[in-house]
Amino acid sequence: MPYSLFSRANFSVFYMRILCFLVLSLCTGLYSLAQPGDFNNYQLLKSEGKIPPDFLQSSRIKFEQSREQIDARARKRDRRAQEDFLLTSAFAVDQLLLSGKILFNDPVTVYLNKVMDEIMKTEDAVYKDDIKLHVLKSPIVNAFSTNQGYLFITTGLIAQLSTESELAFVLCHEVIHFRNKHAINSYVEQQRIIRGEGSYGMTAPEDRYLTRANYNKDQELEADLQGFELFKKTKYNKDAINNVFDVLLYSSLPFEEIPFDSTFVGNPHIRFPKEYWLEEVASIEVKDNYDDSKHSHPNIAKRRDALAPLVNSMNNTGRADYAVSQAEFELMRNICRFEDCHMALLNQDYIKAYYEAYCLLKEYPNSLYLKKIVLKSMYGMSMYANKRKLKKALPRWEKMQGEMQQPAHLFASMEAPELNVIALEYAWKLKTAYPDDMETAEITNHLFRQLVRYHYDDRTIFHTTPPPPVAVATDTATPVPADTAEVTKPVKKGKYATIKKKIKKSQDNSYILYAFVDLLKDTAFVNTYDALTKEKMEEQKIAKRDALTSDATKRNAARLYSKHGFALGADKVLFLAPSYLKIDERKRNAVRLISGEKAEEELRRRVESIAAKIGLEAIMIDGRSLSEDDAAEKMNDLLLLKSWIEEGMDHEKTRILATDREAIMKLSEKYQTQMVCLFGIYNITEQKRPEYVILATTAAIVAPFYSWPFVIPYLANREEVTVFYALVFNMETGDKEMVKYYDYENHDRTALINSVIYDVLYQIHSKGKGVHLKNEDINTLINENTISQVNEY
Amino acid sequence: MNTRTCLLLFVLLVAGTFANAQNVGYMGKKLNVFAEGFFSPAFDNPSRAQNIPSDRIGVNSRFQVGAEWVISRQRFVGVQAGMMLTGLAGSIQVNDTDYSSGFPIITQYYVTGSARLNAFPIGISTGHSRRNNDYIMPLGHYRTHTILFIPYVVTDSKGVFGRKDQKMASGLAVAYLFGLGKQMIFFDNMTFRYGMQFGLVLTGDWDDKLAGTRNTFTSTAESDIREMANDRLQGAMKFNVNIGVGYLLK
Repeated sequence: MPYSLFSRANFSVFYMRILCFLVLSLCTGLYSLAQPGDFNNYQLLKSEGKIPPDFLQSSRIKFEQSREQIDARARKRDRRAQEDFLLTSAFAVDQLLLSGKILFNDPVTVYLNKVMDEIMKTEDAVYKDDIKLHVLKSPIVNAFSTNQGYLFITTGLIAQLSTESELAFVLCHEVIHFRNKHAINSYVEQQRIIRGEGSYGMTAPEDRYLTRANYNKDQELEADLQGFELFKKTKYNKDAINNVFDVLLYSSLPFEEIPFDSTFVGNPHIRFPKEYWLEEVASIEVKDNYDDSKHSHPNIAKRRDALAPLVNSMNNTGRADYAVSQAEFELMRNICRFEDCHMALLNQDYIKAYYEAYCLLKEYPNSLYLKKIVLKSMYGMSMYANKRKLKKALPRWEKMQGEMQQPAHLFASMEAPELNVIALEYAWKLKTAYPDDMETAEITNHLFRQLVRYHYDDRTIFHTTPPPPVAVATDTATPVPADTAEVTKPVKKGKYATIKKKIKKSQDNSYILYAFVDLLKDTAFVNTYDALTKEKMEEQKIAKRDALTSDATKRNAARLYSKHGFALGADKVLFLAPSYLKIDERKRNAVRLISGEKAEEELRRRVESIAAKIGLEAIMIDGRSLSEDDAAEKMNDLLLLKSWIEEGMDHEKTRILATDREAIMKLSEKYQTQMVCLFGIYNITEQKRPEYVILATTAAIVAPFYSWPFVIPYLANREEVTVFYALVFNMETGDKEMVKYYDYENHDRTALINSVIYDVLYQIHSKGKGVHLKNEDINTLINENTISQVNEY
Repeated sequence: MNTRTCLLLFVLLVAGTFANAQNVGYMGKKLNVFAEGFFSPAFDNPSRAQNIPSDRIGVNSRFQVGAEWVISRQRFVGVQAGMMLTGLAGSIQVNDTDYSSGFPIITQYYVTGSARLNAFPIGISTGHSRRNNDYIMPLGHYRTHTILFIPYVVTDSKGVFGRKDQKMASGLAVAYLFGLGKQMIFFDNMTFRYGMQFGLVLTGDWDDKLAGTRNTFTSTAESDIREMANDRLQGAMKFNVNIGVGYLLK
């Protein structure tokens, strides 16, 4: 029988092959879709797909549902404590869920849930269906569970872990906290301690704080011990338990300890003075038996000791570090490490970002993302140094431990011009390597302008030939290995020695003039330098000419502002999570969560309807107004905008291009507007001063009739303060374009709210007369107190 | 400075304010039409003047309708018209001349409670929100400055001097009033306001006073009545509490 491709048997084989190929392709496709594993062009971790339904439910409904948990047989005070806890917890957890920092359907959360499934394989309890596990974007090394069954693991913690089994133990510990309802029990018990009920009555009031701390410690040990029992049922390696305690102990350190290579900074022509380098970094000294009497957790030594007999007796055969997948764990851990660098930048922790990116670059030397982290760290430090505020952005290197101390010391030794030159040198090289990268180009441009404006406006000051080679006992650290370099030990000296040292240091700065030896051969670099120098000269001429009119301009702006307010001329604005906080100081629970949430919903509706009346398109970027279709996208946008605004506010008057500038620009394009408005209301009902109440009552009795017109309204009226704030930021320039602060000693009546919303929206939309200024000008125009008050909110 | 000059200055002031201001109003609505009543205790009331014992607390009342237009974030201007009907408190000197004996015998006596004052004030006002509160007009606490032109007629309500309701005197008073108040808005259209007002009646007989032609020797019964009418108006305007409702038209 001739072999036929289409014979029945062969067709089946062929068909099966095709099918296998398709399935494999699909699997690979899914895997690559799920993977943000392209670390060379890393994209930040984001929520994806369909939002979990519980994210969309209002907090007050969740609270009403959770009230069923209240133990009806408990005493009245305990029932009230339980209710208070459930109320506060429902709102607090929702606030976190809707902050955008809690991710859903992202690769890390998906992976975490796989590990959780592995742990729960042997558990047949009902509670396991209630567990909802998510990753939380935070650099803090932490994991926690809530009464509602949410388990949150921070990216900071995952970045520090070594194996999947360590992650599994952390999860087991948190599962026990949830299973045993530690959160609510702890709250109720703490209330009893505060009130001094039962046996707690014997405790002196000043010792009750310690009693509360001890109660929490007992719960932690319980979670460790019972978590161990749960862990024991899994296939994970028992060594993980001790490792987890190490992770906790050294959580203040970066995720890697790699010696810092001096050639990483600058180029071979830059010979840093030897005193810029530490002979050896401070050794890591962390005590595991610290005083934990006032802590909520027992110290690490106690936790290890409590588990030691159990761990030792546990059979480790057949156990492994990985049950899901080693490759997947490492991929997820690296994602979290990449996230950690980004978050350090946002928090102006430039040295941490720089060092962690340095560590990761060893593994991913071609990653543009990491190179940009390095650039942005140096850029941030340089900008702060130019404003003489480097101390704000640089932690004290003396207090640091480990390898990160070396770069911290290096940058702390540099003056503003040195930092600017070093940063520009790196930026220019990166810009040349990645000419299409918008962020790199903008940062380079900014650094260049700052260099010409503040430090070196004449390029001829820089050397075009390399420094002469140094034969013996070189003054530099770069070409000489660290062990042979002579390093001066810091010795306390007198006033004159310090002066001499400073003079010497200023002379030493000349090394930086060799920084551009290679770059000065680049025509583009030279042309840019010359153009900026020319621009500076022209600016100076204009500044001299305008100096006479600047006061008049300021006066004119102030006059315009007082009569017309702002006129931003926007047709579209993004409203970022309008907030409404109601506080009643007379009540036991001063923060009125339920009425606040209702008022917040009403506020959103009001903003939208008034904006429509004015002809302004207001787009809500808010966790409370999500639809299932666009929820993930909106949550990601919300997080991006919030972190962008927070970062901008942290910089205060130091003007720095935002860390996420490129993403913000894309967002601006997506929504076709540059304006983002942060709007909120605080309504505070104050407690009347008792002495005034007594005085008023006495007046009403002593002088009836005559005093009543004054006394009755005073006693009948609540003392309320309603505060409104509105800030408008420009996504393109990063400037604050509007700062409004309204403070009324009045109720938060509908008309008042409408009136203020209309006023704010009108000024955003107005294209007529009015002020349209930038950050610095606004600060001079509007009272500084107003700015600080608004920033506080 | 005569009435015309005062009026001209006021108009210029208002026009100046119009010229440079951002128009906001309440949700874009700037025109508020309203009706309000002004009430004050009548210490110099007719009963008291006649020593008639009375348990009633005398109340002066004035009713007005008006319209206010918000011209800037914190300023508004308005016009108003109203009426005030009351009795005159003082006694009117009556000279009764008897010619029956061949010689004119003049008998002087005083009549109280007969004269009725009918005043129809019209006025213009300007107002602004209290600076420290930063309310956006027309909402919230405000202060007003009002000039009222009060044409009045005094009639003989009891016919003591002849025909009942005959006109005894007429005149024009000008008053300046300073007001403090608070305005609330309900249902996005309804306004409710309350406050107090302090007033000063500048004078009645402008021309006589300025020309210096009015003195004890030139005094006539009519000028005395006008004098009393001014006193009465001064009493009624000195201090008032007011309450009113309105509607935001546009």
